[in-house]
Amino acid sequence: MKAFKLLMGCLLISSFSFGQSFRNIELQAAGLTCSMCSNAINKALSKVDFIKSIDTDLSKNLFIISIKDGAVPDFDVIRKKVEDAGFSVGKMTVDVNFANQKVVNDEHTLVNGKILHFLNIKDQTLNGWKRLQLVDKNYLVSGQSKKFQAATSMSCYKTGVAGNCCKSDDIKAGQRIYHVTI
Amino acid sequence: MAMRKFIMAACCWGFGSMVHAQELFVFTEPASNMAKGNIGLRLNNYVMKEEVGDGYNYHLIPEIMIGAGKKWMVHLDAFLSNRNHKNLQAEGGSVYAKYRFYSHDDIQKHFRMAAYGRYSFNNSDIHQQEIETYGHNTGYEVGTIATQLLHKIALSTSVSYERALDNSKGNKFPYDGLASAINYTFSAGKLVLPKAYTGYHQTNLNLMLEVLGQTNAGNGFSYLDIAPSIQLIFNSKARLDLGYRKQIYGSMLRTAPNGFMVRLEYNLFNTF
Repeated sequence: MKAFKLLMGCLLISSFSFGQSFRNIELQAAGLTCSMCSNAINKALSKVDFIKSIDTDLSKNLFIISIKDGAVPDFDVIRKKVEDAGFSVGKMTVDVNFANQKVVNDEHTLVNGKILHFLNIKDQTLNGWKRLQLVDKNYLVSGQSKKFQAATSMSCYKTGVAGNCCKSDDIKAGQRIYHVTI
Repeated sequence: MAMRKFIMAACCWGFGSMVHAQELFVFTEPASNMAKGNIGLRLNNYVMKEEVGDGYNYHLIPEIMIGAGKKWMVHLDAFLSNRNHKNLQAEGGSVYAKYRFYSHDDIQKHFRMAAYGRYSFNNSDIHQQEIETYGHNTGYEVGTIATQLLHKIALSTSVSYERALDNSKGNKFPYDGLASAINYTFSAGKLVLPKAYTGYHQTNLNLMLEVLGQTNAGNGFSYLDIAPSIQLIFNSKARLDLGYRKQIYGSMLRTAPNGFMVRLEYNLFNTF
C-alpha cells in the first residue's frame, strides 16, 4: 500500500511538473489605444485552444494570458492573432518552469519541448519558475531588435529556424527557434 | 456663431488635453483596417439641406465591412435616397477595398499608410458639379491615407483621385471636361471619456474634427467643408456617430452641401 501511495505520489508530481511547463504569458500589444481595437485582439485570443483565460489591462494594452494545464503554447499563434487583428506585439514574456537546467548565452537549449536561444544573459542554472522575454524581431517594438541581433552571429535570429550550423541530437535543421532573454 | 464656438471648443479639446486618442474617424477612413475575420454592420444616415428652397433630402447607406486579411478590408454599400422621389428609392451601390501597406507600431502609437479604391454605380440624375461616388455618381476613386496615432491624439490625412462616369438610366454626366477631381481630407480625433480605462464595458466618448475638400481637375473649382462629430462606443463593439458637415468655402455647384449624419455600427468578431 505504501509503495502504491509512493507511486501515485510520484505520478502526481511528474504530471504536475509536466502540466505546468508554461504558465502565464504577458503580452503588450502595440499600435493601438482604443478599447474597440483591444477587444478585437481579446476576442481573437479567446479562440486559441491552449489559452485558459485572458485578463486585460486596457490602460497599457496588456493581456495576461493563462495557459491551460498541460498545454504547450505556440507563441507564433498568439503573435499571429495580434497581427491579424491589425496590430503588433510590443512585448511578450512567458513564465517557464525549469528543472535545474543550465543555460548558456548565445546557445540553444531545449526547454519543455521548445528550442530557446538565450541572448544577453549570464551563463547560469535555472530552477523553478522563471520569466523569459521573447526577443525575436516580431516580438519587440521596432528598433529594439538591433541589440539582440548584435548579440549573436547565428542565422537563426533572422530566419527564426535552426540552420545547418545549429544541428544536434535535439535540434533538426528547420525547427523553430525562439530567442529569449531573462 | 454657435457653430463657430463649437468648432473652437472641439479644436481646444482635440489638441489641448492629455488623454488618449482614437483613430476611428467619422467622415473619413483611417489607414488601419478591421481585424481579420471581423464583420462590421453600418447604417449611415445623411440628412442634407437643399440649397434651393427649404427641403431636406435623406440618404440611407447600409454598409457591410469585412476584415478580409490582416492588411485588407472591404466595404460593400447600398445607396438609397428620397432626393428624386417622395419615397426612399434604391439608387446604387459600391465596393471599396483598402490595403494597409506600411505600419510602424509602438506602444500606444502608430504611423500607418494605406491605399484604397472604390467603384460605385448609381442611377440617379446628376444635379451638381461636385463628384461624389459615395451615393451620387457612378465612377471610381483611388487614394492613399496616412494616419498618425499618438498618446494624446490621432491625426489622419488622405488624398484621392475621383472620376465620374455616366450614371445609369440615361443619366449622363452633364459637365464636359469636369469629370475628374482631387479630394483631400484632414482628420483629428480624441478620446474624452472614460478618463481611465478599466474594462471593455465602458462607454467611450470621442470628439472628431475633420476637414474635407475637393478641387475639380477641369476648372479648378473647389469646396472645403468642416465636419465636427461626436462618437459613442458601447461595450467595445457598437458605435454611434453624430456628425455635422458644413461648407466653409465653395466655388462649385453643390445642391445640398450642409447637413447631419447619424451612423449606427455593430461589430461581429471571429466570423470566419
